[in-house]
Amino acid sequence: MGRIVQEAKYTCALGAQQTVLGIERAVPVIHAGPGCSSRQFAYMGPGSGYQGEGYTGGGQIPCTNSSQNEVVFGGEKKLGQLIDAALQVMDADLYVVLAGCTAGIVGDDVKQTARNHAAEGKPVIGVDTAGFRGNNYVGHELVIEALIDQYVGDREPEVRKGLVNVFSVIPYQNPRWRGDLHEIKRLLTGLGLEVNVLFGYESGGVSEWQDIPNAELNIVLSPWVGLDAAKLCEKKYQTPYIHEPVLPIGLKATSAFLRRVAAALHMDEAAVEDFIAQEEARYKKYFVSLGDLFSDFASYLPYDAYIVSDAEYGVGAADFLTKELGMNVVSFYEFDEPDASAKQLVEQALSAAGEGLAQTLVVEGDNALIRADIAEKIAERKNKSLILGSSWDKELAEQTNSILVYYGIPITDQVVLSKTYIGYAGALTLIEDIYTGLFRKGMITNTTHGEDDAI
Amino acid sequence: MSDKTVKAAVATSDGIHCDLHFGAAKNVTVYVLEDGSGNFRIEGQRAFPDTSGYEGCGGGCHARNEEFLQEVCQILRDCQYLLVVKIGPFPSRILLRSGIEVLEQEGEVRELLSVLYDYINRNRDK
Repeated sequence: MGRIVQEAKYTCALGAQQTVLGIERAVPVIHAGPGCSSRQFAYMGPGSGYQGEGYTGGGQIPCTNSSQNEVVFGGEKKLGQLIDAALQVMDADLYVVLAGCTAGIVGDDVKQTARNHAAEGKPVIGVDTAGFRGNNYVGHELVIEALIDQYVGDREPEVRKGLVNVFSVIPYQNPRWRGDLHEIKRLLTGLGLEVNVLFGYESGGVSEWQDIPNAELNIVLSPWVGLDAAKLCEKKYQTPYIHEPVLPIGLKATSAFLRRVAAALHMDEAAVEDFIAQEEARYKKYFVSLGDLFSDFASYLPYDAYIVSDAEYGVGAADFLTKELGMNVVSFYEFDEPDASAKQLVEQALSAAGEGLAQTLVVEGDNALIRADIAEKIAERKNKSLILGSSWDKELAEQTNSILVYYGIPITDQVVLSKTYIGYAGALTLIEDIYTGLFRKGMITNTTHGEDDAI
Repeated sequence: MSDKTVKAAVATSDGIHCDLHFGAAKNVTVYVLEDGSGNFRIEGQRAFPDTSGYEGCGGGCHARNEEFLQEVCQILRDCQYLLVVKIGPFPSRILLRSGIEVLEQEGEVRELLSVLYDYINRNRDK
């Protein structure tokens, strides 16, 4: 039965316009009603740590602004005119037509229209991302599969040893995607691999997508998003893949992840261990230096953790908080609302990450309900708590005297640029942000550490 | 007239094609789409008000003059649709407020009305 979502943690499938914008010099061409595209941008641009429009995002996105006219007569003609115009005035390497609900209901064939209007050196592909097909996680999947199908296409792979593709974080929906992809690339490059991260400043734009068939291995770094794309590549290009459902955060998870990748590629063990040892040594020095703070503020340290996140980041956080910071994850509210089989993958990943973690899973996309549940649990348990939440949870954190770290969308009172919480480097930043929360006003009593204590 | 009868006004210069912009139309031809039959008949022409009586914008266009547009709405008050080649968002909004849906199309009136008729029929029971 339908219900009203008060505070949605995701948008609709058309949100995949931000996926397109994550590829350098790629333009989304929207075939939808007025407002659809700008709302997606508002939610995942300013609402995701003020990430900016990008090369052709925000108000620059071409849109058919479909109305009743297109509902009655079909919108393919208008879409064709829009594509032609976009090709003329927007200098780009790839144009991706995304159809919204109107086009989906009327039955416009966006794939064919896109194909008909492609020009020499100006590839155009079409994807049906009607909102009723699912949320923007589903939209992201639809777009990456369409890119492989229509843009990369059928190709005889010329496999290059040591080349890997990574299917992982979702641009903009995950506020720290740029920093995260940097860290993923840094880690895998450190092993000696050549890496197509496919999105962000450090990808080679569309050239990385064209290079997809040549990879020796695909790495799916998420419980479910990206898995179908890897399967598609296996079918089309015979590229094997490894599925890493736990996003590596911290020493244990990151080292284990790197070892599994190295094993899958039969890499030289000594060289891999050298790199890991170097990274671990650095990490450990920082981690150990935290010891004094832990002993000084032992009675103020958070013990319970509440994670409000999508599957990808949430499973990684649950793993890290449990294994490296010794916290007790009370509830992991997963907001990307996976289907039944994807939910099973998330449960499996949680079970593998730690005993009892699967039981903490609550699938809920409405932050208002999530917040109420957390408040109730904190009141009942009376433990010092950490909330990995968003700007919507500020009041809750203040009322319950909990530490709040902005972990997922929306982030409207913090600027996010290159920050990452994953890998070795990111975990240290996450630790900094968690324990900095101890010194928030009102958190510590009877000491001189509170920020409002005048000396 | 059955309550399911739909009227569509078309900006046409020759009675065969929808070929005029809203601003260029001096009159429209009103067609009646009969329920169930798939046929339509011409009800007649209706003249738009003489634009010389209204102040236009710098370019002489009256499509932003609300008084003029209210007159048009009055003239088309029993029509559900207006088909023109092009129209600006402002007059389109004013007409919509009076319950007149404006559709931008160019081509043979017969074909356009046939598509419109199909659409109306498909959505009749929804």
